[in-house]
Amino acid sequence: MRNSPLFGTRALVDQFKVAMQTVVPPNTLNRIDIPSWPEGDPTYDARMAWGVGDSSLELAIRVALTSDIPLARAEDVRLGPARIPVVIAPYLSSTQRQKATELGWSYWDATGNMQIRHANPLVFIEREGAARNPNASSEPRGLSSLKGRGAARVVEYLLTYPNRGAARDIAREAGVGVGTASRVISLLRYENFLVETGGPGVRIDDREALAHRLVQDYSFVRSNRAKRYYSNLGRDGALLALQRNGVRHAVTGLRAAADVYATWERPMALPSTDLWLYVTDVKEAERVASLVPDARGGDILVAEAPWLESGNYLAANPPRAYPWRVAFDLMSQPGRHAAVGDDMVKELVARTSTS
Amino acid sequence: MTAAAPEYVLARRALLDVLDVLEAHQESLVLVGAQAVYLHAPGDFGVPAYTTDGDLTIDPDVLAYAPDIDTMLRNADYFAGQNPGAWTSPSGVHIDLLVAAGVASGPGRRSASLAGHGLPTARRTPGLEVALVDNSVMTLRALDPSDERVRDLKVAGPAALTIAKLAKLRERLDLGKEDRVLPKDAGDLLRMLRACDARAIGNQLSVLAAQPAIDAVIAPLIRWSAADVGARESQLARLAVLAAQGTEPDRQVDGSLRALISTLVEAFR
Repeated sequence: MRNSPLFGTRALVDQFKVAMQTVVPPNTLNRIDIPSWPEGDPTYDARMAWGVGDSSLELAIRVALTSDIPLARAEDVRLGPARIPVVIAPYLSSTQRQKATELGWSYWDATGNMQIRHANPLVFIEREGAARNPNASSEPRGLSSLKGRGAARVVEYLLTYPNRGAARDIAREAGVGVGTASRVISLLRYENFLVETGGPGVRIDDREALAHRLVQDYSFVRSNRAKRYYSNLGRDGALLALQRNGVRHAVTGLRAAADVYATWERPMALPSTDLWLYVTDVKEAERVASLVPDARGGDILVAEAPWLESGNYLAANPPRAYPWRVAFDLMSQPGRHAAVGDDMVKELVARTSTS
Repeated sequence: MTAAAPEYVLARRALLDVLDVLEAHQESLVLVGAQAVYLHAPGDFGVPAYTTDGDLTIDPDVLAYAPDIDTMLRNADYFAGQNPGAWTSPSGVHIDLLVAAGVASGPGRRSASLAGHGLPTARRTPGLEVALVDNSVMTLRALDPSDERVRDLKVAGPAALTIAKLAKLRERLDLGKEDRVLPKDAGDLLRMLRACDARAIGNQLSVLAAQPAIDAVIAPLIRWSAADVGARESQLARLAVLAAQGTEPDRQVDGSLRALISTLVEAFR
């Protein structure tokens, strides 16, 4: 059995079996056999034959007691036509459930969240359980969302360096307090995004899911108190003025994305119409770049970034935020921005995993 | 940066061509017009960089008596247009040879007499006087990568170009012929003020105005532009908005041009 050293595997499979016995209408055949525990199978912990209606299926079960959710597409793991891959866990967050679905896995958790699917014969069972992890003892104190600037910095660091660091190191590198870093890490651990390394550090396996989780709470505009302006100098003139006057700034948004795509030799078809900027000193930026507040139609979005220090952004011309920051800033806004951000995340993951 | 428009590439090539032809007189030539603006203000300033011609002003005090520019151009297959100083290159690009009205001699209303040179050679043009005192040598390169020519040439400074654009716009607006007023000139003016610091341009004009002959050109244009952008309906702002159409919201362009000219005027006083 893949998971045999972990206490609770058999108990969870038993709970799942009980839950499966309640999902079929009365007077319909619903026979679930005793689970078998395949030795040496790297993907599944248990298998159960499932006779439902006129069909004979097999539930191939992967138990996720920690954050060990399936990362491979289900069709890539040599399934038979009658086999349904199911990931089961004490609790699966909405992001994890969505991810499992995207990868072709059915799922169940002990709070009652369930989706069992099969194409032929057609099976579709869906139940709703808890929206939050009911295990209160591991509930992180003082942080229930990732909407703050500090949280975004920590997540940016974890996305950029997925295999590094304890809270203290992350805090130092990300330019946030140790308390902030610890609370963010606790929340991410609670939501099963972190893989324990056995040492003091943590590891992120699914950066795409983490980026999506961040933007459930984070917004480039709200989290960074970004305001809209236009510049009497035009967008390029504003950038030039910031540079000439030594105001620390970094470009993000579509304009920064275009630069990143250019380095990937994938030019963006449409130019950006807005300029998104992080600056350390908004008042100074307003003065030197001749910025005029224009909440309705301004084409320059200026965000406060007290964390913007040398090493936290790319000293290019113009200076720009690091790609993961650019990606989730875009994802946090609607329409074309979100689509480009999403694409960037996929590309960033692909590039890192193949390099 | 976006690639230059093909017309602009052609115009730069034609400018280098005419400079080759007029090499003997290069010391007397100062580049003015849009190509000079783009040398000082490259990049995207909300208004597209686009021109189809080349404008050179001639300093009559420096111009040698010979060889005759008229003959040189005709021998190189340039055609003289109906207007004095309006030449067409063999590749079909317009080259304007201009003389600042304040230094032009001769009885003609439009043509400028240049001793030793044929009469239609150059056109007298108001507002170019400042370019004769506010210029610096810059390196002019072809925009076509296959053309490796490089030439050092006097180029009018931002202050001179601002006055030249204001003079041209005022002259045409005063004529009341809407079809002769080019929004592009207002767009170039906005580009110049955005890229080259309106306050610095105002300060430079203030220094240049210490010469009475130059002040006589600058001061009326500054007063006119201040009145225009202070009015509810600004002609300059309206034209700049037309020039930037589709690239920037109208309200921003209107507000920018008014604010930048006000800054320039404030610095000039």
